[in-house]
Formats: sequence, C-alpha cells, structure tokens
Amino acid sequence: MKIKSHTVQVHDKVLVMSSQNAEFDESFAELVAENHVQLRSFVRMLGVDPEWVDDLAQEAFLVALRERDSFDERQDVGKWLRGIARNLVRTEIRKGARRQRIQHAVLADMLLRSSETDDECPEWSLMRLSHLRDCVEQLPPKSRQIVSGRYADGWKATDLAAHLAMKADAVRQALVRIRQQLKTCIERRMTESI
Amino acid sequence: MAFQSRFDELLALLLDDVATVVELDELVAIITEDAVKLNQLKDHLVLSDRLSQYEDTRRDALRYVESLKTRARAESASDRFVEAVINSSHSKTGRQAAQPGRPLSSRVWVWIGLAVAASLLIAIASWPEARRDDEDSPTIAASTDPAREDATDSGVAVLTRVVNVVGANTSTWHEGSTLIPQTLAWDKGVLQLEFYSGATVVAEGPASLEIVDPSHIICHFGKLRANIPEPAQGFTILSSTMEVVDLGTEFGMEISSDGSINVQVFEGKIELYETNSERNLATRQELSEGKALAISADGLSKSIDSQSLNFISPNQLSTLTSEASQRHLENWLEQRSVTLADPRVIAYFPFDRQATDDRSLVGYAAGGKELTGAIVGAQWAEGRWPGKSSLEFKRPGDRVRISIPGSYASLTFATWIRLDGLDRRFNSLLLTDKFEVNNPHWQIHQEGHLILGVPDPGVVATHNYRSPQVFQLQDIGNWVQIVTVYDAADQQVRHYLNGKLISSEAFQPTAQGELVLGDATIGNWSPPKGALPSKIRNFNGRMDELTVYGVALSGAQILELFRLGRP
Repeated sequence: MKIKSHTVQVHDKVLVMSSQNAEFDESFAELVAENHVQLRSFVRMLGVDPEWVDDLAQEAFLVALRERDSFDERQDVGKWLRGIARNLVRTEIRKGARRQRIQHAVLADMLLRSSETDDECPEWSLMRLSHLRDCVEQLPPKSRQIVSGRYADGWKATDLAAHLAMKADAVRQALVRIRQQLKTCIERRMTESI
Repeated sequence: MAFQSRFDELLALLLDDVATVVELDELVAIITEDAVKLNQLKDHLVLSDRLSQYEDTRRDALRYVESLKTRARAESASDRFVEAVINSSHSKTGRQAAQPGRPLSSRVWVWIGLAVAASLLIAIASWPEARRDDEDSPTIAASTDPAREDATDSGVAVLTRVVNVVGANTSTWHEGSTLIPQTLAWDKGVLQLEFYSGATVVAEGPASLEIVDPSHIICHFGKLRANIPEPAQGFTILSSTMEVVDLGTEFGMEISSDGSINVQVFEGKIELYETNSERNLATRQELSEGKALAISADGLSKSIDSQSLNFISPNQLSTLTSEASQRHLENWLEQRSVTLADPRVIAYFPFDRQATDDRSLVGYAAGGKELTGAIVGAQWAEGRWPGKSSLEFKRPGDRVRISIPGSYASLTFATWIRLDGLDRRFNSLLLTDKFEVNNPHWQIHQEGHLILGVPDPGVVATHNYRSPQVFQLQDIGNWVQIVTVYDAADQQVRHYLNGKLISSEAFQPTAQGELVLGDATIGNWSPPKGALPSKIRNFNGRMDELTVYGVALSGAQILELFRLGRP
C-alpha cells in the first residue's frame, strides 16, 4: 500500500515558515528534524555513493533554506525536498567524468527516472528510527552481530566473514535476509501503531 | 549455500560496496526488465541507509544537524561579509554604518572577517573529509572527535564559578557549562566567566551582561572585574555610555542602570571611548594603573579615589567558592559514614584515592567488608569538590574491574558522574562481563538516554529499560547524580536524575528471577570471548562515588542522597 504519508505522518505539525530571510531558525530546524532521516535515505535510493549521501542531502537542505520564500506552505514539504534532491542528483549525473558522488551513472539515472514517475514513498520507508530500533534490537544475537559489524563498524562481508567463521557470501546473504525481515517487522509495527 | 538469484547476489554486492562496474551494468540490465526487482532494490537501498543512520555514530542525528548548521552559518556569514564589503566600498567614509544598539568598530569587522574565514575553513575541513578521519576504532582515544567538536562548538565562554547566585532564570547555570552568545541577568551572587579569547570576567549581581563573542560583552548594569592576559588584549566591554578597550590589564567596572560608570584599573591600562563614536580619537581617554574614574550618564568624567570602589578579587571569589564547597564536602563525609554502615549496600566505592596504592579502587561490600577494584588506565582527577578525588575515564581501554557477589531480586545503582562526551552508541556505567539472563547492563545511550538492559529469561533479545533523552551537549562538564532502581516489589524500573524521577517502566512480562552481577566493569565493558573486538563502550568523563544497593530505594531516599552529595 502506498500513501501520501508525508502529509499524514511526517508533518503532523503545521510548519510555520519564516519568510524574512534565510536564517537557520527554529522553524527550519524543525523542518530538518522532521525530514532528514527520510531525505538522506531517499538520496541513497537515487544511487548516490553512501559516502556522499549526507553531503548531498545537506546540500538539498541548504537549497531549501535559500529558497524557502518561494515554498508554498500548502505543498508537501517532503515532496519539495525530494524534488530539490533529484535536481542535485541530475546535475551530478550531467557532470559526466567529473562526477564523484554517484556510484554508477546509468543506475542513478534509472533510479532517478523511477522516482520521478512514482514519487509516493512506501509507507514503511516513512518510519522513524525508533521503529527500526525496536526491530533491530530484537534480532537474534548472531544477526544483531552481523548488522552491527556491517553498519556500526563499517566492516565489509569479507572482514565479517573472517571474524565470524563464515563465508563472505553467507554474510551477504544474511544481510539481504535481515533487511527483508526488518522491513516486514517495521511494516507490522507501523500497522500495530495505527 | 547459493543465492536464490543472480539479482540477489548483485544486490548483496552493491550493498557491500564491492560491486564492480560490470556487475552494476548487469544489475541495471536486470532491473530494466523487471519492475518488481527495481522496487526491491530501492527498498534495500533505503533500508541499508536507515541501518547505517541508526548504527553508525558518525551519522547520528545530532551530528548531522549540527554539521548542517555549520554549513548554513558559513554560507550566511559569507553572504553578510560580502555584503558588508560592498556597502563599505560605497560608503563615503569607507566604514560600515553602526547597527542600532550594537556599534561595530573596524576592529570588530576584522574579527568578523577572520571568524568568517575560520568558519568557512572549519566547514570545508569538517565535511565530509573529517568523517573519514573520525574512525570509531579501538585505536583512537575516546575524546578524539574533531568533526563533532568543530561542528558543534558554538560556545564563546565557559562558566567557571557560580557562587550563591539568585535570579529568575539561573537554575540551569552550572559550573563547567559552555556559554553561547546570550544575555545573562541575575539578582544576586557572583559568576566567573572564562572567555575563549583568554579573558576572565568576574561579575557580581544584580547584573545584566550580554555576551557578544569571545572578545566583546555589553554590560547593561552590574559590577565586574576583568583580567585580560596578553592573548586577549583588545577585549572590549560596551555600556550605554562608554566602550572600554583593554590593553592587557586587570580592571573593574561598576555600571548603573542609568548609564553612569565607575571604572578602576588595577594593572596595566585601558582605553575608553564614547559609545557609538566608532572609537573616535576625540572621545578617547586613557586610564592607567591605580587610577579610577567616575563617568556620568551624559559622559562627563572625573577622577575619584580608587579606595572608594570595592570590586571582588579572585582571591575573595576563591574563598567564597571554597566556603560553599567545604560545607558540601563536610555534608558528604557524614553521608559516607552512614553509607558504610548501611546493611542494604552490597557495593560502595567512595572513590577515595589511596596514597599507598593508587591503582586500586577501594570499595566496601555488605557489613563494611573490603571489596577492591582494579583500575586499568583510568586516572585520578578532582571530584565534586576540591580535595575530593574521582576517576577520569578517557581512553577506550580505561576501566575498573570489580566483582560483586550474590543475587538480588531488586537493585539500586547510584553514582555521580561528570560527562565529557557520549562517544559510543552505549557508554558504560557498570556492565557485567557476561550478558546472559538477568545480568544487568547499566549505561548511557549516545542519544542521551539512561538505560538498564536486562536479558529476560523468557525471550532471546534483551529489553532495554530506557529513560527519555536526558543528557544533552550542554550537560557536558557538569556533575550529575544518576540512579536506576530495579524494583521487584513494584515490578518497575525507575530512572532518576539529580534526585528527580525521570521515568518508570513496568517489568517485561517475561522478567523473573534474581539479578546477578558477578565479574563486572565500571566505565567500560569486558565481554567474554567471541564478541566483536570493536564493541567499545568506554565512558568518557569522571566518576565520583558508585553505590549498589541490594534493595530498591524510594524516591525520597534518592532525593536525600542527591542533597547530601551535590557539588
């Protein structure tokens, strides 16, 4: 099921946008707090290199800060931010050989086009990190160890495999399976919390 | 075991950051033909990033937002600076017009220019390159965190003394707090502020001080004494009547709310200019050592007898502070004797430094029996009061190894800590070596939650009883009391901060049996073999007194402990 959840779940508070200047004031801080988790993941979903995801998402917020006067408050803020992020990725792809922040131009272009065609985010992807936390912390110890090694310590599958006496492929398979389990867990928790 | 499909394999390689261009080409070919697989890929990308946001401390929300603010400030400052330069070049005098209420001299513009340059350099240097330097690895000291410090430190001064202060908004003023530009107003008592520029200002209430930056304050009224060492030369105090520029000295000022000023120079000399004159030489007066001047609200000045003025000296402030500290220390020493004789205590570490063996942490078990811990790495430091010792934990290896026998239906953990940072996802207070059924882990989460983690007998995963977010950056450097109660009678876990209940949570339905501590570690984790080696949980800060009671203390008893132990 897909819903326009930004208006329903993310922006349950009315954003009061100060229109005088581009100061990083309380209302903008609130906008960032409400949207940064989703926007950063969205940027990754456009094929941006993981090392550059936060940099590019910050750039999108800076553009939003400069352009906030032109933002129509009736519009969905998440949609507006995603539009800005798409423009930045599009520019990145156009840089050709000078590009450095995307992993693979054709893949990024495809993900970009797919996102343009279908901008409505799946409900589960609008989760707060607390939903993820609850699911992650309930993983069996071995799975938790793999997730922690990969994402907290930044180990690649070959390093983790050596440490856990597994094969690298088995670690990668486990990670694919764990991500699927987490998605299911989050969907279930979001349904329960409605 | 093989992957279910080539797509799964390529997806796994992509998210392991090891896919080659050829493999990515192949992945693109697959998803071009299959919309379902394209959506699966998008889901995994999103989830992978969320896991990274949750797990990777370099990407935590606080750091991300602060880094964004730094970039925004750098952009904004850059814009203002360019605008000022353009305005200045169009002005006949070549100077920027002063803003109402806050005249800006050319020296201030130079400072702003330097600040802009510095903040731009910080922004450029700290993002994203610093992320790569900021490895959360066991070989790097816990306090090594340049990206975070650079990005978040918007402070300009540190509050180093707060003595008998009374005022409407003063309850959150603590010694050790970092101050950002703001106005401080209070009715009574003395503050000592140490500015990043090196200047020290002792201010006596009633006073209203506006901190502008590390080298500028505006005093609306109040009595202050400033000591300006050479690096801070040029430190400026503005009042509605005069601008006082220090030339490397020590001086006192008493500013009345009507704008009249008494000023006295103890050492060196100062320059005085009429406010809003942009340091016009025609308004300049110089005052040298031993001289005192009274300036009326309309700017008329006359020499006065310096003996008639009475500014608090650093020694007097020290005496005041010592007297207050001494009273608190005496209260605590009485409480220490009471705790030693308390039959409910199963482990008590007063954190007294032993002259003969300072690598042991002497503690006491029930009945006053000695229970000594082994100090590893951690260093002795000053505790809550001068003359009271504490242990400072800094490096990833720092810890105290202890062993607490017995099993208990209820437990109360109580300690005084001074946090210097939350470097790890979990920052240990007291962790059992084993983390099996009913082994409690008492720690602080990086997001500022106090946590008691207890693996229940009935479930595979641990349940973390967590408080709301109570520790924030501004709490760093302040002594706080934290207490957690595991209460079998009420079937609740309660967390307290500075004697106040901050959360209570019912036991998990599966919780049962008695808690066991056994071999444990203060300020770190010493896990059994098999855990990932990089799971560091070292505490960054000081600890002064740790008590474990074999019963659940009541809220009133905890509040009393706070009153008797407060710095």
